[in-house]
Amino acid sequence: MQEYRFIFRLVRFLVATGLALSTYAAGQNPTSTPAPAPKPSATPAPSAGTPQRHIKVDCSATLYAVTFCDQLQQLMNAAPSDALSPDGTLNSAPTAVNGTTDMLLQPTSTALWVQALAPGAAVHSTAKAYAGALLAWEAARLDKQKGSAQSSSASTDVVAKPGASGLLSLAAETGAFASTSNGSSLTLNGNVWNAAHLITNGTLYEESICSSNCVNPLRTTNVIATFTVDNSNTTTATTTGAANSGSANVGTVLLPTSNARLSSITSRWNFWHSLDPASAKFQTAWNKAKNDQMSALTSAGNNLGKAIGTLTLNAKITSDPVFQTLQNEIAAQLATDYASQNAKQMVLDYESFLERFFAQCRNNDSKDFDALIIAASTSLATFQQLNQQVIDSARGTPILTAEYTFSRPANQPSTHDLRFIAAESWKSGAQISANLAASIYASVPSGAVYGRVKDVQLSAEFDQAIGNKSAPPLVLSLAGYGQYQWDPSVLNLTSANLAPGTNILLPPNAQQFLGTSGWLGIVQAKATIQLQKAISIPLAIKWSNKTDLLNAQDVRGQFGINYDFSSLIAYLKGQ
Amino acid sequence: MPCSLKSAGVATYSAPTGTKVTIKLNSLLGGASLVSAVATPASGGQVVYTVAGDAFTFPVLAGATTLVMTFALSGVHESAALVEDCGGDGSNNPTLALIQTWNSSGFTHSLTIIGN
Repeated sequence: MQEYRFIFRLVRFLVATGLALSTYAAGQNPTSTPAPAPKPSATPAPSAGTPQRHIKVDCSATLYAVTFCDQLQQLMNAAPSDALSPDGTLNSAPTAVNGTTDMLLQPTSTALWVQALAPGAAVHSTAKAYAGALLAWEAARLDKQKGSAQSSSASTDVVAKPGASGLLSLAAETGAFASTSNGSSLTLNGNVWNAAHLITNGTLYEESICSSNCVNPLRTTNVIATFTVDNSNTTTATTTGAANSGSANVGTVLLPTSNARLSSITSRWNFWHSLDPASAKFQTAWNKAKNDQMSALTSAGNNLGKAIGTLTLNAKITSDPVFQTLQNEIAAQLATDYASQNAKQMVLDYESFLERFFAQCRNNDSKDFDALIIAASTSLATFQQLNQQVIDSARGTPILTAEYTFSRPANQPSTHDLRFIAAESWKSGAQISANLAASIYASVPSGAVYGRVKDVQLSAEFDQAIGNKSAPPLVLSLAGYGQYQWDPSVLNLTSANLAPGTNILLPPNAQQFLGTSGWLGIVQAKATIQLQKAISIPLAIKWSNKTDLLNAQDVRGQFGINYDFSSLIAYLKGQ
Repeated sequence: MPCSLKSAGVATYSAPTGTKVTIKLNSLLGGASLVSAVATPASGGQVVYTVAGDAFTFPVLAGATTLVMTFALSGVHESAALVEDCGGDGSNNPTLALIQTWNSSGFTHSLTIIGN
């Protein structure tokens, strides 16, 4: 038991440290509890003439009380007339300290007690936290960029989308974007912070609803790596002689090798409007998003209500008189601690109360208690995430996404690409995305007759969901792309570029122009088929007036297959 | 008009068994919405109530019943009031609970209803 307690305390410490750091990163005081926003007019105001208190309550060393720290902080800083009755006992009226005292005396009146008991269970229930409602939600998003960056030869996306997978997506694509030859690529698109958070906390989201000023910047940052997986190569190997006397002695042989390589690495950042939940515009959008998903919310809420109800019943919280005795004791202790303004003692007393309270719960249902806590915390995590999805939906797509890509195209100079992405969506299930990008060479050899700037790009795409808007089986897209290039494309010449049968040695880093400068235009029509909630197949056909290396019109098909692990993780766990 | 529920303690309410009670969420800034309600009687079994317009009606069951309500929250920082709808003049509706929507503690709220 001591080992478990140590592990729980360690997890609590790490989580508290992480939250403090993320809060610090957002420019807030890491040691203070977030100050509540101004309360509505119906909230009881502190007594007239009572100075506003600012006593810090530190729960970082506790196992359970840390979950109730906001409530302890509010009680400790409440006006005396609100916290205490005239006789000096704790004011236990339901409306005392905005209901906070009620919450502290009845820790099972909210889901906080499930959260307090859940840290160990949360890790094990990670996958279960993703319920069916969330799968459909993720799959219905039109704004996700799952495939490779535009600079990849095999990209099926003429226009980059502003959103990205909240966890991890994998795309396999083949075809040609602006390149002359077809290519195949594998793209991994991951949100590092969310992945780490999912592993350690069992959920993608913070416990509380967070406005933009407390969102960890890493949560809106994705890293994308694209690997080319075609273009087989050979390497020369020296033999050590004949294997048997009957065969000729060959000095060297050509061995086939894979030329799979990291062709580009991308980092993208999403910039959102500040979340202003009090604005009329946001409230309208939130109400619509909430009503659209009401059946899913109700279903998740019913599951949560059943889980908590079963937990409460089995732990005999409403029938075991021990709980009432414990509540009477903590009420007296909280009153004493408040009167003496001893925040440290208040935390210790409350931690002791919760330890005894939860021990009695476990004692009353020793067989199923842990399993019920896991079930309840899983239902709570699902509901929290669904609620967050409603909020994210009300916020709309990012106002702007910035993306930096370092590309290493085969046989061509490396480039730095900077892209800005904007999008607007409509209720009809339509979305338009636009890109503005520039590409510069990573290095220019001495004596080169071309400049550092390779090209600038403008593109736009219109997407229309077909069928059920909340889970469209098909998305049709029409896109246009324009690229202005000052000089013809540069081709790195190596021995692989020699014509067959010649034996002419070229100097290292030899380069030649190929193709023409000027405008390169592409028009693409694409259908994206949603096979499963997590799997989609883009099929596209494109026309271009030329390619990057050849000055001739080109019509070509592209296809791929995309997996979104934000949705797929539940399938992997058999849900 | 007399109310059907009587407070018997903190978050515990009593009423004659069989009394039909309506609970309505009064969200001042519109930042909270009641989405589900589930009753778990001490005698076992569970009942899911239909919520419409942030309100639902339930009959008081014999003995102690845990009533768990779930709320969707937009992030508006308010103390949503859960009120018993006594009908008639709204000023007679007593406050059953104040639900803090500042953090996730507001996602659910449990009441103990005792039928006598």
